[in-house]
Amino acid sequence: MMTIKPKRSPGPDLPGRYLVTGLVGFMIFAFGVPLLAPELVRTNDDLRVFALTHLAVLGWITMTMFGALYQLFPVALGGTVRSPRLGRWNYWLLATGIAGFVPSFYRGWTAGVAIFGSLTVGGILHFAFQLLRSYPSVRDWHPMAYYVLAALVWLIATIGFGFVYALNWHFAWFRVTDTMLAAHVQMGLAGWLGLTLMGVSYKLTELFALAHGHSRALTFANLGVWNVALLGLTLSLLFEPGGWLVTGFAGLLAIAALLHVVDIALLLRTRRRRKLTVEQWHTFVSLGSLLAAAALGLLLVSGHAPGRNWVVAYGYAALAGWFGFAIVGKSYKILPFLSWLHRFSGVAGRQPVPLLSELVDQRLAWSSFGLLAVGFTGVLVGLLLGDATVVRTAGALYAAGALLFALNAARLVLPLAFLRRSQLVSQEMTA
Amino acid sequence: MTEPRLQLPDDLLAAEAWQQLECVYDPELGVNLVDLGLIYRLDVKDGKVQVEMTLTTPGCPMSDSMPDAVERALLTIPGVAHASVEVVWEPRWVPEMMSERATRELGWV
Repeated sequence: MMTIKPKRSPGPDLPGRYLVTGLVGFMIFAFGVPLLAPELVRTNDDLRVFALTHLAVLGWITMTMFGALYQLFPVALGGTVRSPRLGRWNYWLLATGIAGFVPSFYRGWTAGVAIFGSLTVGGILHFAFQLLRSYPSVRDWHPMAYYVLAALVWLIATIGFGFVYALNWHFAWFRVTDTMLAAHVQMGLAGWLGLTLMGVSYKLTELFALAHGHSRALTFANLGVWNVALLGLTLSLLFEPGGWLVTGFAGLLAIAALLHVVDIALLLRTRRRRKLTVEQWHTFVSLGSLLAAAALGLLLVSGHAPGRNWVVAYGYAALAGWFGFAIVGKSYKILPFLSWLHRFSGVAGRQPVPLLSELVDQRLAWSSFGLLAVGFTGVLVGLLLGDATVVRTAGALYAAGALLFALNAARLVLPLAFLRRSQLVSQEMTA
Repeated sequence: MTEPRLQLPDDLLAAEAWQQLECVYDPELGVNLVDLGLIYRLDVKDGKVQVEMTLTTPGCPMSDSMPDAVERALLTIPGVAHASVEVVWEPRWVPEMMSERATRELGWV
């Protein structure tokens, strides 16, 4: 008799619930951009813009990355996630925190920011702790393992600074300057989100494009340059704002971004799967956006940006462009895999099962990509020009693309969010 | 009372087993495991099948489910009483182990 062996992965509901919440966050962000167009083209220094930014960073991207890491840590690095049960409880803490934190920001309710910010910080620190204590079980020390490890350190630093700023907003202990905020933003964007995305990208590109034989020298060099540049940028923003060191380290970070793009291009050249998939086209836009964000960032720190709307354009290029396209693209791999694993792995070999690509509606995926790419480019141009009508119109296209993506993703991930593996496998086996 | 087991010569069972494994596909690549070059060894003795296989990379997301699928596929063959699958990492899989059909399906040639 065949038995289903115990697996290292937690049940599908653990990554699933984070991924579903990330999807909801993405939808609100996508529709929020055209609705807040007048505020976005004016300045970054607006509570509603702060709220939208935190919604994107926490409610969409971080939630998605937590879900993806819960899924990938066991399968890609061979590690065992410690206490999945705590992870499930932690989800509620984090989801409640973010659900209260973002509206509190939007309405300028400082006590709410402090209270819900504390819950959010608790949830994030718990996740970081959960993954850090799972690290000794890692069996495959792929570069992704080092990138994510560094990202977790930056996550703790980002959250620490953010928490102090949130409390300070309510208690008014000291004056928070623009450069102090910029340090928090850089740690979050380039440190936590950037390093996680880069690490995961190396692993998934190898796996899904069947890329073999790529030297890892540049990958590790990039990890070093990126962290040195980010540490230097953070410290110089905090202690010597406006100095040449800020520009110098920002330049070094831009070079590291270029190194990463070159490295991924070299990795793709070794692929055995020639046909470019919809996921890879998302990757190309994502990497282009990274370079655009790096260029905008350099202009900002060197004082060559014409207005504060360029700060918003920089953030948008990074969040919706670099991270957004990467997340949407990789979802076309991660979500079908998650779905397949828990719906069909129990019967594969005994009866015909679908391929991963057959679980995704490809026509919907390509239509979504077109709308997202055109919408994103339009919003970016509108932000740089300071034109609210362009932002609103292009933002509506982007939102339509996001909706098509959500339709594709929801039917894959919704059934997984609230069911355990045993339930799903037994469902398929009795079907 | 258990049903009497079908007795087939081991070499016939081995041929059947290879054929059966050609029906097990990598769900991401859409190529069967035999053409991918992932099955390193297949031995049959007294109706018991032993397989040594690998995966395209140690961090393969299918590292749990593919060996299970192979075991399941072998057990569907009449005459196979027992199937065991071992995942090995030596020699490490390289794309050159793929058959010509697999490289063609992946668009490489």
